[in-house]
Amino acid sequence: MHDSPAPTDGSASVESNERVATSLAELALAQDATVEDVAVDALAGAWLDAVGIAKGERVVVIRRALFGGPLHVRTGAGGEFALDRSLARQIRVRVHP
Amino acid sequence: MSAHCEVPATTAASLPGQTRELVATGVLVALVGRPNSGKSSLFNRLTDGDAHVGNFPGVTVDILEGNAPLSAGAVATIADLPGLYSIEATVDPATDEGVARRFLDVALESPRPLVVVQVIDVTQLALGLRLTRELVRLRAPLLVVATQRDVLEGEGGTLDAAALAAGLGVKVLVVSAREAQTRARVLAAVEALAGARSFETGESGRRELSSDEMLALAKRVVTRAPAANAEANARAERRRTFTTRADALLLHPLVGPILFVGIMASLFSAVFLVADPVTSVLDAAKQALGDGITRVLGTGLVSSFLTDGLLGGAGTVLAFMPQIVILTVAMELLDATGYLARGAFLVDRLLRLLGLSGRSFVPLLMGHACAIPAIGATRVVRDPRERLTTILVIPLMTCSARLPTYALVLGTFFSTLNAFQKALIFLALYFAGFVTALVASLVLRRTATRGRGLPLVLEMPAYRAPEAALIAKRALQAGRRFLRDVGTTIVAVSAILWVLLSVPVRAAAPPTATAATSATSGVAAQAGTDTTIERSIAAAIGRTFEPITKPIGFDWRINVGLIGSFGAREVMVSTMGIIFGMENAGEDPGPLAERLRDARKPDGSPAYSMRTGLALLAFFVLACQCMSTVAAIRRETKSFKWPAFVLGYTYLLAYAAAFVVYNVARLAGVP
Repeated sequence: MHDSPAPTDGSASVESNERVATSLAELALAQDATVEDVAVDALAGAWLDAVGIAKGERVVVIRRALFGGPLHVRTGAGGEFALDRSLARQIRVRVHP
Repeated sequence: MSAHCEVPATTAASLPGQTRELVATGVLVALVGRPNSGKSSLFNRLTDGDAHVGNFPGVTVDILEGNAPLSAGAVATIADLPGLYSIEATVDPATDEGVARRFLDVALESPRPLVVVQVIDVTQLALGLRLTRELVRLRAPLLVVATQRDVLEGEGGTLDAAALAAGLGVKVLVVSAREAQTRARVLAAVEALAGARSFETGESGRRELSSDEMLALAKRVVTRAPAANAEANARAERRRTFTTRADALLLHPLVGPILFVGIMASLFSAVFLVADPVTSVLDAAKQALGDGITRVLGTGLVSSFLTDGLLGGAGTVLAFMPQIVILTVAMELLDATGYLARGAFLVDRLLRLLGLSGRSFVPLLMGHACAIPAIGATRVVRDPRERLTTILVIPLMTCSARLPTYALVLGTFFSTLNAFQKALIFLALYFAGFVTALVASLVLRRTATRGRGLPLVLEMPAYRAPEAALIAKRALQAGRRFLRDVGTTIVAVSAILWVLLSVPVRAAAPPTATAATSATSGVAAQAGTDTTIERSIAAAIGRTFEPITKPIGFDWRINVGLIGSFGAREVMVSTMGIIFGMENAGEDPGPLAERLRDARKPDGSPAYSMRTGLALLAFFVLACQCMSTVAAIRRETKSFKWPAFVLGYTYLLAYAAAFVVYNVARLAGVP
């Protein structure tokens, strides 16, 4: 976790031949990914960590609410959460091939 | 902490040292766990359903507590802390996490033995262990109670409690809250831990696991018999499939919102369909009792105080009870089934525009039925600032109590309009309340309640069947809380209002002579009510305020009506009826409407006009004319500041709106 902002323009960068880094907000539905960085302050980060969204955790976006509403996300520990989209933009994930 | 347990001295004196200490001080058990972890079910099992709101110093929100017997006469006080994800990431001290942290900090400083019991849903072990990682760092004995054993076993699985205990370095129990013996097992474990002189002795070897270690441990300790694997997997798969399919429908972009509106409409209808008949029965009982008192004591001041002051206040309290209970049941059902989170997901974006979140929707909707249960329902909003904002704007919603007043004003001042035009005005009034509430929430979030909000991270639990007994208990608790905290205030304010309206004062100047007051003099025999109210403290206040309310078209009589209707808005009709000598105006406002239309000023011009009606409607849309609402806000915010704030801002808004409406209507040529 650090202070540098995560990309918010929706662009995904190719990090290797097999894996792509993007923000959780831009992750395709049902696409398996691992959280790479959570660019929020320490306290909010700790809270996200407590619910299972932290560096190294696996996440899948199940659906998106209309008009830029929250994401429905499943975490590696099996929990499902509605996650504010602006918050999801600050979570960088690495897509599994 | 709460009061220590009373124990017979003769018993305590003969006990060994540690036990004697427990007998003398009791044990405080802090029950912690994630939301939906089965904590409430275990709490009910441990306390045998006997719970009340605890009085814990430094903790400003309600924490339920109940006592449970230990051996040799010692008693454990079980405190049910709010559902939480973390005790370290306390983004705001007013959040559930912040409250729990404060509670634990205070408990740790207390000499009273403390045992922390973490409740984990064994079917979601990996999720629960995230909180365990923090709890092992607390300097207090820790017991992990894994619940839902029956569900796990139903899927052919077992939890290796010994392996889990070894992995965590703390004691672990695997239970089902549905089984009676669970109580004794948990309490015995609590007593064993509390008896230790220091938690290090029995708790040495506690381990702080990394995220990967925790996941690995969760996988390792749950085993399934090979023979049961296929069936268990199939059963688990069926459960997952059900939630997935239900979500596909209930969260569908098009169908989901339609179903949501339908479900909310049904919930709303239930209030009127079920609560109204019950309220009518209670009203009839109150009326019969009042008649009985009048028969025995006659029609003097004492009788009036008992019937109109005390019984009237008690009747108002009782009239709210059916709504409180039904709406609590509805909220609990929505929450327990997992649908509340889905509804919040659907409407979150819309409410974000107004500085709120999806969680605020249901309380706001309830506010259209009655603000009292709606204010209580804001407990589902986790963000404290958002919750406060929701509480502050709920009084602006057009509740059902406003309708009789709207009907009277429309019937009186808009008699020339047809039914369709009146219906349009009704609709506009509803809309005005809703829009004002939304604008107010936007403004409040940037002013009085500004500050960092919690990011929306809302758990979407698997759908599950609600526990009827638990919901009934919650509804009962809500009813009791209302009676104790709000009901007493309502009765007290009702008594004060009676004094204002019924006790004559010498200083009160006689009313200005008008056709209306002259007309009322002929019915002075009606228990002397008309002359009494004209000489009442309320009348004196009404006349004092007349220069202020004149610019919005209100004379002293309307002011008295507003004072009287602070008890309950619908009382405006009957209070005006008393002023104008119409005893039964509350039941049949027709003659009162006629009397109001005929009322004249000393110069012979009409005392009230259509503009007065418009201004009165604007005032009623916005003013928090409801002592019960004020009491409920006081109860939920645990302060006098916020109810005073609500009164201040809604009356200012109401006056400003009435002024604008009255004067714009005059410029527009409205009579």
